[in-house]
Amino acid sequence: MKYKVTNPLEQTVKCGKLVFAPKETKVLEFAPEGFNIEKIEQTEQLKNLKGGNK
Amino acid sequence: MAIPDTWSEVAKICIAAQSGVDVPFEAITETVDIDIGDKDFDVISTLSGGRLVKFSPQEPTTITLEAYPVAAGTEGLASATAGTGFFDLMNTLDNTQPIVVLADRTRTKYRMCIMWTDANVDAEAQVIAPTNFATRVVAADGYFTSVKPSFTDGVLKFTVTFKVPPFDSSGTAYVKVESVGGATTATLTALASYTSTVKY
Repeated sequence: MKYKVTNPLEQTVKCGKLVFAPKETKVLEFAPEGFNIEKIEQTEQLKNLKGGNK
Repeated sequence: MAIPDTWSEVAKICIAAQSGVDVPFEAITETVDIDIGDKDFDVISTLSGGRLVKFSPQEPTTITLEAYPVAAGTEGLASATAGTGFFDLMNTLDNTQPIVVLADRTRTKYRMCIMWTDANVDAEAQVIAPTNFATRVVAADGYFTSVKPSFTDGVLKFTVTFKVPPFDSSGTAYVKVESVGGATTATLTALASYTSTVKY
């Protein structure tokens, strides 16, 4: 399971060794507290997040 | 409900990061001191024996908390239901255990509000008279300038200072003090979600 993890704040936030810029989104394999989380269940969705098949 | 004689014993405190929720901190806080910035003036003595007033720009407002957190910061401050620490408010937030707060040059704006009320609501919430009474102090776009732990009395106590200028660069107020109460129906509206463009 992968998660689309978005920093909702208008400030930089750390998540362990990861650093999220304000409003930045990363795809992670875990769902940390304090972020907006969206599950990515479809392979197609993941491809879209990465910019699709090019 | 009867008019309260005083606001005593309890108060509600919340702190919000920009685009985050208002996080209650009253559970770990013992005292609050609000030093509203002075609107001072100097006096110029004239040769006639008269006095001229020279106004000084209003000073920043400083809110000082004495608190007893047991953590370095609050995990997931953006959506937390209770505050658990203060070091992160002066540096960079860490959303994951272990919470690691490094000294850095980050300066981040926060909103703090303190409310005394006989309604069973959080500090940022709506209060309607005449059912309830409330007095609220709100300071937005302020910075945590000092977080000082001490163990002098055998208990880890933090003295935390939050400082905010009276106005932004356009002259719009950063600080407001409001209340509701009395016989007629009136509403102390809930604070709007705090963002870089909405103060309260």
